[in-house]
Amino acid sequence: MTQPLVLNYLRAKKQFPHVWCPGCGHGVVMGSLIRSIDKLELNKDNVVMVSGIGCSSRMTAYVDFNTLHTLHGRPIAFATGLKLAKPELPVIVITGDGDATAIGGNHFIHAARRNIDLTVILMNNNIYGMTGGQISPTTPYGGRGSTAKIGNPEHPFDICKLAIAAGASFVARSTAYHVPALDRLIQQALENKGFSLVEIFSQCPTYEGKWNKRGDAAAMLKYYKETAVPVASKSRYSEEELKEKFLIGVLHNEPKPEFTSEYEKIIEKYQSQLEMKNMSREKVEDESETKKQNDKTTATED
Amino acid sequence: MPEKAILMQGNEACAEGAIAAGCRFFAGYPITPSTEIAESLSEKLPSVGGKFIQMEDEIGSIGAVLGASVAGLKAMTATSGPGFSLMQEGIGFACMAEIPAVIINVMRGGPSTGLPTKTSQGDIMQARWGTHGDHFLIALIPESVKESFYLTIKAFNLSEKYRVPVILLLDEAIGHMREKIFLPEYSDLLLENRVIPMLPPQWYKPYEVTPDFITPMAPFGTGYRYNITGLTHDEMGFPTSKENEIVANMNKLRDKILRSAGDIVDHEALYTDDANTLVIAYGSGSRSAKEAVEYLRSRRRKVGFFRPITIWPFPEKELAQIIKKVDQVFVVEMNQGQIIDVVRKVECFHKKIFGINRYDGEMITPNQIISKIREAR
Amino acid sequence: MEEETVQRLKEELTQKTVERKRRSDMLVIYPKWCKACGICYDLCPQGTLDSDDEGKVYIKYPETCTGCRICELHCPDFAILVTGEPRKAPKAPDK
Repeated sequence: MTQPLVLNYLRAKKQFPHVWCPGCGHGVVMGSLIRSIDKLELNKDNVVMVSGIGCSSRMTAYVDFNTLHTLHGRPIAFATGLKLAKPELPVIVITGDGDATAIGGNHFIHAARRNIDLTVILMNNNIYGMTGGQISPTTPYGGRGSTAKIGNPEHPFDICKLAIAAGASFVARSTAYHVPALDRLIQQALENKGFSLVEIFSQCPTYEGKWNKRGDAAAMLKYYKETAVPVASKSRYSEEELKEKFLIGVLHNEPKPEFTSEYEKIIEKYQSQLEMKNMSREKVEDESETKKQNDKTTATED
Repeated sequence: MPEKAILMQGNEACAEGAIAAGCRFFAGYPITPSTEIAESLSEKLPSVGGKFIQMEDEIGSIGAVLGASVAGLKAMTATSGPGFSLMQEGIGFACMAEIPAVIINVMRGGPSTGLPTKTSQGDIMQARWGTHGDHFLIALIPESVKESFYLTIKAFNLSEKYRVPVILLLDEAIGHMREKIFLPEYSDLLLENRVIPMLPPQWYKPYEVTPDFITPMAPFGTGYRYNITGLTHDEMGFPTSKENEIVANMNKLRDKILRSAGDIVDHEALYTDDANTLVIAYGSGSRSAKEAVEYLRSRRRKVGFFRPITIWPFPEKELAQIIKKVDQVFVVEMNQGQIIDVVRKVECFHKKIFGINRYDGEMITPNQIISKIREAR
Repeated sequence: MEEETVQRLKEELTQKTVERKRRSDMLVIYPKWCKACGICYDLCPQGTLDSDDEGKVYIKYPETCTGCRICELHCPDFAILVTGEPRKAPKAPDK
């Protein structure tokens, strides 16, 4: 009986079915991520997964990799230290819209600016699910949540544009509906040597769907299907129409110097400087040594 | 080759001590009065193949340090009051997930922005109780540049041995002062490294309760695929809400430190055999206190001196032996009184316990201590 | 009157539960992992799948499955797996 590929990467001892609500998109993202890692034949012993706090970040407990479940908003900071310490390990950050761009926003934009080689899997459900449905930085104007029951007075920002502006070298978006595309984008992100963001619209029927009357999970997936515009066919829509749509696919791909390899150059510079200093000091010591030898011999001759 | 005497700043001595201890990672953020540590390590670390990064804030700094430690490197950060406050949640994570790390806090006048360039000892209680929840960690406090060098090494050794964050508290005065120091041969130093698991991966329990409560720690990427979390966890490192597992987890973190207090705790005591008066001081304050004690001794006053070097866990047992024999105690602190509460806890009977405090940003002087002791006659 | 539990047990043991097909030549379903979210039988282009009385998925028209894997890829709980090779198949009558 063929084993589902996914089961090879799940921690058998963990309790399944997993903790995410019925119809939540996060399980689909976990499946896509596992298929991508399998496709690239990354060695399980080397894959490091760092997550923050929130629904998204419960993923690390289920997958059979080196997993680090950190603090709310801080996975990218922990991952930065880990990646710089061991650049040879592929480091994947699992985070959500609140975790990465609200409390974790500072680390998000600076890791992008630094272009450190991290693959950030950001599951955006426009809500704080774990804590019970509060609005988040991506909740639309007028959208509802348990802390904006009458309508969100704030305007959301576009996480992909934020990452591009901050300097990320690879930025892509997909949804829990466009799964084959998601598989491809995650593979591309994993292969990109630099800060790679994959934002995934991942439906939350329990809170976001309920508060905003979007129907069940299948209806929310249908909404993604009808509202997404592949970036390649963007020109078919007018500026006005695009306002109601969102783009999916590779939104930015500009390879540029990666932080950990840039830092290797710093190490080389200092270590060659050190060698020169040692060589010159040895030279000085040799000269003074031979000088002392000559003085001694001349002294005995006198 | 006789050791060479070098004139070195306290902050730089910490940087040098870190390198000597085998630290190969630093993440920090500029803040007076500790920035010299970062500046110094930004050169010393790459020279030995180590890694340095200036993060976007102190929360990012402690996060990066813990990430690097999980990867297997000895890692540290350095900051001052305001940054130390921001790092507290990360320090709590290091306690819970038992991740070795060294955090240097060069103390300046507080609270808030306070006196950025002036000295103080106002963060003593924060070092112990800065983060939330029951937790245990180690804090050391040097009184000189030389001691800053050696206590940085001790901080790494304790942190590696007990898988715990170790705070090194420097008064700004110590951090910025320059003193002569003889650097030892680094190869002579006894360095601790975290215990690596011997068992094959499938047998590895990352948070197993061992007899000494210290569990071997496998660096990420060496075949031991396990989970680290800040959630209360079971022996396998997975979140738990079972009462017995929660208590076992919490007791492990406590007993790991308290059971080995004998090995961890360090202090200095002078003239305590026949003393009827005891002066307690630490950090830079202990220099003036020692001078005052020497002076009073020359005046045939039976004054003893006690200095905690590990401020947490506080050397309560050692102090209790001494304090029993004296009639009055003076606790010298450059804050409005913090360790005095711990002393009162150690000696809660009729002993007269007085504080000698200075908190205007300047060093407390021997005369201030002498006159206060004389007044109390 | 028999107590309630005996009543329930009698009902359970005598009433013949309708056997829901969880396995076919093309598909395997793990009912324990299925959370009755409805995604798979809503997205299935062929109408092969349907929900049982608990809302969980079962294979209503096994012969209509083409092995396109839409259900497997979109199941958040890995509760459905395509084991057969892709093939041509007619749509379900009510699709």
